[in-house]
Amino acid sequence: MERRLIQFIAGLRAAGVRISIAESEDAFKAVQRVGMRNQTLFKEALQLTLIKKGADTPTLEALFPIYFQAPSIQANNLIDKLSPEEQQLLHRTVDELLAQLSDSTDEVRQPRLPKELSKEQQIEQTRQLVEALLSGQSVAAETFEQASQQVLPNSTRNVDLSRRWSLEQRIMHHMGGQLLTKVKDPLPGQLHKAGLNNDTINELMQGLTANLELFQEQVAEQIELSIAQQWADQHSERTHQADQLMDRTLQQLTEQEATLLRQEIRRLVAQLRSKIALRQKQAKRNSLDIRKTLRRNMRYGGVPLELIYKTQDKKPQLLLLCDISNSMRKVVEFTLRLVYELQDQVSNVRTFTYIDTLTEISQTFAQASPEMALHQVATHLRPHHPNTDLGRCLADLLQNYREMITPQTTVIIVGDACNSWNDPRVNVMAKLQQFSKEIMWLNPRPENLWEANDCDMLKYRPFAQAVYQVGTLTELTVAIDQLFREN
Amino acid sequence: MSKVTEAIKQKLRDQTYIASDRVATALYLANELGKPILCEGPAGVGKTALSQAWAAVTGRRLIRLQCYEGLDESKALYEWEYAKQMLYTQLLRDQLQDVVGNVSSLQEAAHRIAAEEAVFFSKQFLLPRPLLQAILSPKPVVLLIDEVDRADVEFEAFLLEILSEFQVTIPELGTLRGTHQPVVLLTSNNTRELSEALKRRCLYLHITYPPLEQELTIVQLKVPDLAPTLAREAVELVHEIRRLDLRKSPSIGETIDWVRALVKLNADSLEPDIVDNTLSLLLKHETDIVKVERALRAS
Repeated sequence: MERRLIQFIAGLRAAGVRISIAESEDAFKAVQRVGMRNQTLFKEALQLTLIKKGADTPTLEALFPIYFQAPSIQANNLIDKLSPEEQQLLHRTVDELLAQLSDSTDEVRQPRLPKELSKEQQIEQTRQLVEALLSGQSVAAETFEQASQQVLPNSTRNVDLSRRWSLEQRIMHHMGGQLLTKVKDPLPGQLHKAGLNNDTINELMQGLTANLELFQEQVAEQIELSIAQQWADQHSERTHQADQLMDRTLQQLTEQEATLLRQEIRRLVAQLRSKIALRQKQAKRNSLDIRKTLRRNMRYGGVPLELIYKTQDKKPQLLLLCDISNSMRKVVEFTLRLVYELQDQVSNVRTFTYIDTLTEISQTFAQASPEMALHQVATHLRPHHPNTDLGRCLADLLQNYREMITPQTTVIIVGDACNSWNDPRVNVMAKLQQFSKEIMWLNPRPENLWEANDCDMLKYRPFAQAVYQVGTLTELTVAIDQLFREN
Repeated sequence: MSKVTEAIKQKLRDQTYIASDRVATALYLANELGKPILCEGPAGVGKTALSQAWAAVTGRRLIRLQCYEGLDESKALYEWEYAKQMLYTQLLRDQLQDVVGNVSSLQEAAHRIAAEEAVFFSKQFLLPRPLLQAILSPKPVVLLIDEVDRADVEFEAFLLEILSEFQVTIPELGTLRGTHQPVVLLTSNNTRELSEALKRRCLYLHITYPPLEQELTIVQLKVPDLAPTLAREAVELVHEIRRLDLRKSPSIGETIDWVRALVKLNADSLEPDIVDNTLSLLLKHETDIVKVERALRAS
C-alpha cells in the first residue's frame, strides 16, 4: 500500500501540485496514525498534509478515486454454493466444452493484437478466466500486467472514452474473453443435459453474469490506473520538452507543442515571479519616514535608534492592446497567459483586443482562461477577414476609454504594426504617450522587416519607450521582466 | 479511528462549535504529529472561534498574537523594558556610586559596571510577548497567530524559525526553551500568498461556508431560543444571498448576528419589511444591499 501512496504522490506532482519530500513524509506519518480503514478520514489526512493551496484541491479529488478505489462489491464464490457432486459435474461440463473448442476447426478471429496467441494459449486463458469467474477471484495484478503490456499503447493521457472502451475489450480478449461466450452460452444447456436441476443452473448463470460485469469494471479501473501512472512517469520527459520549446518561435509551434507549453507555463513563470517579487523587496532605500521613525522610537525616549524608510508600492498598472489577427494569435495568447499568471504582481490590468475595431476583454479575461477569452472574442468578429487598423483603434481608445490612461499606466501594445496601408495616425500615438506613463511594444515581426510592406513600426517607434522583438517564449519572458524593472 | 474524530467533534460541539470531519482530523493529526495548523478561508467562518473552542476543550490557556503589517520581533517575541531599566538606573544611582566609587581609571569603572550588567538584563526587565509567553508557559497552551497574511515576509521567516525549534535565544540570557510544546493555530484571510516554507511546515485546513444543514445546526446551537421554522427560512435565505455575486458574501458570524436580531425583534417569519430593515446586519456594502433588495423584490 505504501507503493500505491508513493504512486499517488507522483501522480499529483505530474498534475502540477508541488509536494516536497517533507510533506510526503508527513503524509505517511499521518496515514499511519489514521489508518486506511475509513476512507473518508484517509482522504482527509492526505488532503491536510499534501495540499497546501486551495486551487489544488480539485486535482486531489480527481486523482484519489483512480488510485484508491474501494472495492464496492465482492465477487461471489459460486462453486462453494454447489454440492461436491454438482461441482464435479460443473467442472466436467466446462472441460468438455473447452475440449470441443480445441477440436473445432473454426478460425479464431483475433483483434489486432501485437502478439498473437496460439489457439491452445487462448483456450488455456479462457479456462483460467472461467475458473476465476466461478470462484469469484478478482483480477490478479500479474495477469493484468501481462495483458496490458501487450495491448496498451504508449499513448498520452487524454485517452478518450471510446478508445478506453476498445482498450478494455482488447485486454478482455487477451485474458480469454473472446472464447468465453463460446463456453458460457452452451453451458446451461449442457448442465441441464448432465442432470443439474434448473434452479441451480439459473442461480449459477446469474452469478456468473454478475461476476463477469464486476470483472470488466475491475479491468476498467486498472486501465485508468495504468494511464495515470504512465502520465506520471512521463512527467520529467515533458518538462524537458517544455524547456526546449521555450526557444521556438511561437507562431511556428504545432498545436501539440502549444498545448504542452500551456500546461507548463505556470512552472516556467515561477522563476520570473520570484525574481520580480524579490526585486520589489530589495528596492533601493528611499527617504526617511519621519512619522514612523519617531513612533517606533518612542520607547527609547525619542532617540532615533531605529530608522524606518518609506516604501513605495511599485506594482505597475497595465493597459494591454492586443492585435488578434491570425498571425498574432499565438503570441497574444501567451502574453495574456503570462500576465494572467503574474496578476498578483500588478495592481490593475485592462485588456483590449483590436483588428479594425477595439474590444475590451477585461471582464472575460478575469473570469475565464486567456484562451477562452480570445476564443470568445474571435467568435464575435465579423465573418470576413478584417484588415488591421491600429490607428483607428487608437483613436477609439482615446475617445471612449480616456479615463483608463493615467500617468501611472503602462500601455503595452502587442502587435506587428502592420496596418494594411491604413493611416497610422502617429499623432494619436503621440497623445497616448503623453497621457500615459510609458508605452511598451512587443513585436513578433523580425526587426529587418519593420520597414517592409505595410509595417509602420518605424513610424511608431519614437513614441514607445521600450520596444522588444518577441518571437519565442524566452524573449517574451525577458520583455515582461523588464516591465517590472526598477525605475 | 473514526471514534477519535467523533469524540473530538462531540467535545467541540459541547463548546458550541460545529466541526466537520476535516477539522476534527486536522486537530487530531496536529496533536499526534506536533505540527501547526494553518486555517485559510473567508472572514467570519470560524477560524478564530476554532482555536477558542479547542482551548476550552483541552483546558489550555489561549495566547493570541494578532498580526499586522509592521509587526516585528519586539512586539511578537520579547522586549526589554527600557523605561523600567532607566528608572532603576536613576533610583539606584547611589548604589552605583558605591560600586564604581574609588576607581583609578575609566576602564576599571567600565569593568565594574560590566560585571553588574546581569542586573539590568535579567528576567525582571524582560517583557515577554505572546510568542515567548507561549514557549515558556509552565502549563501547556494553545497559541493562536491570527491573520498571519497581514504581516510581512520577514515576519514569516522569523516565525518559521520559532515554530520549528520552539526555543528562543536571547543574547543576554541564553537559550530559553519551554517544557511543553504549544498547539499552534495560524489563520489567514488569503489576502496574499503565504511563503511556501511556512505552508509546508503546517497542516493546511481550508474552511469555507458550510452546507445548509450544518449552518442550520450552528445557528440553532448558538441562538437557542429560535423557532425551527424561522431558523430554516433564515438560513435558506442566507444561502440564496451567497449565490449572488456580491462584494462580500455574508459569513456565519453575520448569519448568527442577523438571527439574533430577528429573535430580539420577535419575528415569527421572514416578512419583507423586517428583512429590509435588518439587511445591514448581513451585508456590509451599500452596493450589496441594493443588489439583494432588488433580487428579493424580483422573487
